[in-house]
Amino acid sequence: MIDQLKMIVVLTLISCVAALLIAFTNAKTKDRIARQRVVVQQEALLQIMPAGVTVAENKAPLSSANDTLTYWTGVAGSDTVYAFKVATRGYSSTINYMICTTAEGVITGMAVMEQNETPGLGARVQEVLSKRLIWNGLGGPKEKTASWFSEQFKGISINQPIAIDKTAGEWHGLDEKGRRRLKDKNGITAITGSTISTRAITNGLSTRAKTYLKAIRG
Amino acid sequence: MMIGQEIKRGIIDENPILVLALGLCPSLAVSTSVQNGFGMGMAATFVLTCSNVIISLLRKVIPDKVRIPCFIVIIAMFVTIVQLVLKAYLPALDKQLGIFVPLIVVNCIILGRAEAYASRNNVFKSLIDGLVMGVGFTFALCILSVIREILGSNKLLGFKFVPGFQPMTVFILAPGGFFTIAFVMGVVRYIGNRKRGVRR
Amino acid sequence: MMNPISLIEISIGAIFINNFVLSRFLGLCPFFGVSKKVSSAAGMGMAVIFVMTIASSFSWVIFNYILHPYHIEYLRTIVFILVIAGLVQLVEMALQKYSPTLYESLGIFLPLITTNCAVLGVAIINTDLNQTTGSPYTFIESLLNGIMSGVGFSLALLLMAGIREKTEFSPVPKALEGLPIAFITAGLMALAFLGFSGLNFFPAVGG
Repeated sequence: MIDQLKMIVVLTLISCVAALLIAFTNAKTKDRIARQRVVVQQEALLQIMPAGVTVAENKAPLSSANDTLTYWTGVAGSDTVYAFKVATRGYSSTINYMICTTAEGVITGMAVMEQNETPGLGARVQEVLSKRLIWNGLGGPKEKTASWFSEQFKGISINQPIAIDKTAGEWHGLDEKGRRRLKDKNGITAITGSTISTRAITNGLSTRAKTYLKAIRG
Repeated sequence: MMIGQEIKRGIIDENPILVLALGLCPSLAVSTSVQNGFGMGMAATFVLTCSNVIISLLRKVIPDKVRIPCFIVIIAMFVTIVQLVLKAYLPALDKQLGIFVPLIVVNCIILGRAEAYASRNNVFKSLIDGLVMGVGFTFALCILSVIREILGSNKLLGFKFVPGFQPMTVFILAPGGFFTIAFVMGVVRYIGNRKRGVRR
Repeated sequence: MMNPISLIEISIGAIFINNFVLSRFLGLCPFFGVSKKVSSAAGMGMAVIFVMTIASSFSWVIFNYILHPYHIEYLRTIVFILVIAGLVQLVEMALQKYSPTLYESLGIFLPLITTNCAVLGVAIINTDLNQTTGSPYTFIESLLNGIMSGVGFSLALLLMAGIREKTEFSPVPKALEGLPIAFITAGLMALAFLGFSGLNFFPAVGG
């Protein structure tokens, strides 16, 4: 009887202390975890907006239900660009990305914020390629963090169908001529072996992003 | 002197992954890049060391019959703390490790050491044991992930490795994980056999 | 909610495309530990399906009716692992009492299951968003996900045991005997299962 009581008391005590400690850690880290989301958003905005614009947050009503869309305007002189988040289902996760377009729907920048695609395949939508070799790269100055996949969206129009080129190889391996040829047909290159993730993003652009831009423009 | 031997035990003689074949799930799943492998190794080392110390402290208080649930609660507590800290300070790593952070709880190495070592030895010894085993785990993870990152994406720590080499993506994917660990384990055994004079 | 297409998609996904062992790397310890003989692999497979089904339904209820409403999601790991450990104990006792024959075949595997990361894994996956619909798993979906993940695990385990029984007497290089050759076998199986990853019945539409 004493033994059983002891068992219960010890286990309960340990569980309570554990729960308390976890609650304490949670209280300490909660704000920072919440802030991380904003940080990711800020970094993405910085990446996709043209340099030297004044950024302001806005809301626009969406036609479906009573949803509202949060978007950011960037004003430079008489030109205004619009940035907003788009989410589409990829291969094994939802891909969250942010784009910035002109009023005519020409993309000035795209950044993938969150995804959980297959490592080595779809996850490469966020791949940053280092030009430097490991031997002379360590300890060097910081390299830019834009991924090659998102860079190729610059200048693509969301109002026209976006072509996916599966034969040209990946964008980072193309020369100037190849890149221009792609741009002429409003196209991007797919990630080798993961057209599903690639297509998820272009589909999102030509459906959701189009609707969003329309809602913003009123 | 004694500590040197202990470290050798953790890394080589009783390496948790390569010799004892414990904790296979995280070691195959997160060894796709060196950052991930090292991060997972460090997280597991922290949990292993802390839980070893606490369990060793409480070993006289915990009744034998409920020891496993008690161990699990203590381990799960440290895992949750690690998870929250990672989310707050290293969100990119947390995202990459994903479900394998909470799954450190069921890593057989940690419960195994708690049961086989920490519940029978004093605090100092358990602390050393936790550190040594954690280092061995991290070491094995690093070996696996260096091989996989180089072969699978021609990178090391995110930098390009060999110019002009076409990486074999399969080494990043699931099959490559199995092949890599088979190869590394085979090499370890071959060397072990040679030492013991077994021929073939 | 009871969309039959999404249910089919979950099943195929859990068994073939995202097979727990061969593509998600969950439950490897029992996968290599209990795959030496087909008979024991079958027993382990049954036990895992059983526990996974119960664990995923219980953990779903606990998460959605206790942890989520009171905003204590951060206790998820600790609560789930305790629930699973408790459930396994209960199942073991119940089997021992009411079905000694079943207990004889499953009994020795049950204690191993507590630390099987596949079980905790399915419970945690069920609390995340359902990637095929983009909304949280409903009860039926998470129950099905539990069963089918268990089926996928058992399928891989049985295939592996069948192959290992055959290769046991093959002349394998000394250094690769035992586990390493099993890893290579698993790698080849994973390569075959990689073929399923192209399966996409209901293509992702951005709209």
